Amino acid sequence: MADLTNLSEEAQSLSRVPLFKRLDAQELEHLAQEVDQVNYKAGDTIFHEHDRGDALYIVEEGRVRIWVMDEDVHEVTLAELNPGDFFGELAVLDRGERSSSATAITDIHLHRLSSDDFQKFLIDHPDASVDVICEIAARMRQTNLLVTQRASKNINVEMEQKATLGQRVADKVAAFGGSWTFIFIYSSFLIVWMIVNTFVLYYLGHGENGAQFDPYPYILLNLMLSMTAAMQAPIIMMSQNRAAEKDRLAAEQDFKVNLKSELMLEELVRKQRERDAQIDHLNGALAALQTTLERQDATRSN
Amino acid sequence: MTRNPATTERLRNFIARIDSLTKSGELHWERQAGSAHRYARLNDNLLILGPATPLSDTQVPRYLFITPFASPDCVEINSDDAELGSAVMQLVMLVEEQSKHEPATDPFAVTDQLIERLESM
Repeated sequence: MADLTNLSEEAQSLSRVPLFKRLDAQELEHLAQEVDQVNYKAGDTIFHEHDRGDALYIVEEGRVRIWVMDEDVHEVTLAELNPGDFFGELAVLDRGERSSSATAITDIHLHRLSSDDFQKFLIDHPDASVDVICEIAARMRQTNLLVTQRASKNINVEMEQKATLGQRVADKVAAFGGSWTFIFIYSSFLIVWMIVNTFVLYYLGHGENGAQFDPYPYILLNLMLSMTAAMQAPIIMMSQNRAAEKDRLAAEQDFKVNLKSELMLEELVRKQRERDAQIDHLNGALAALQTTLERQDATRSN
Repeated sequence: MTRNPATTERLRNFIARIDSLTKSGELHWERQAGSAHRYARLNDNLLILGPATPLSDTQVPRYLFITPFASPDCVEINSDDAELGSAVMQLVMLVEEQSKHEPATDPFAVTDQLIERLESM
């Protein structure tokens, strides 16, 4: 930890940032000369998604919201940053576009470090690079968590991810057992079995039934059919249970989204009615004002 | 999915707050007709207790779903959650008790208000 007593105000401020905790007094002073101090009011945008990334920001005071627009043009908050946190590092590292937007939640004071200075700082301080990597990894975890919690989940994907091997096999068996391919293959097998036993093997071998191993009425074949049916029924039921569970989850998901939309629409209609009432009131006031002005004009002209 | 202890604690506190608001009657839960769903508005958030399956079917886990109206984000806590499951079940029972005398919301009900509106067309 650096001795803070003789440091400039900027260097003291930087020494409180976790990213710079390993710097000595001289390095802090040197860094303070490279860093700009910037202020934003609550609600101000610091940068937009797709802007060119030219600097890293460190929060000294206040709170910052990092957000992106999703496919439905809704703002999705990725993180809310507090003093000591930094942001804008991705675009600075790969010199690409900003991957998200940043807005000030409260009035904020930031340290701004240009791309070149930040990269030079990382090269000079490999231990700080590790801190930056750890922070990026933590944010990736946070983003993954957020993505899995979005309202519009894909039930099919979720069910597939949760399915056990037995359930996957049951689905495959049910899908194959309920297809024309299965009916054709099984019918062909039955016909071949009967023809072979009735005609082909009858003329081979010796004795009354020739070489027939399952003569008419095909008792062995019947036994096999019964066993197949007995095994297939519970497997298909397992698959149907899964399909029913999937339907239940999909219905629940629809309910949540529909209810939210319905209540939001109710709120919008209520606000619209309030606006209409306000407009009527203003129109009335305007008409009264106009009448008063006309009367004043008439009085003056008389 | 792993959840850090701080988040778990914040969620536990939030559920406790919903519990206390429900007990004091400040949080009004609506009852869905023909379903075990209950829902309430808390500031600008929608809270849903589900699923539709009756509470008597103990095999199906219950959930508390929280979503802000202003954003598509959401949090869902299930009764089979190792840490928060019991708090969710406690809330489910409390809401069930509080809302049992509530008139059920039925979007397909023929109400006097609806008939009056149709007649005035």
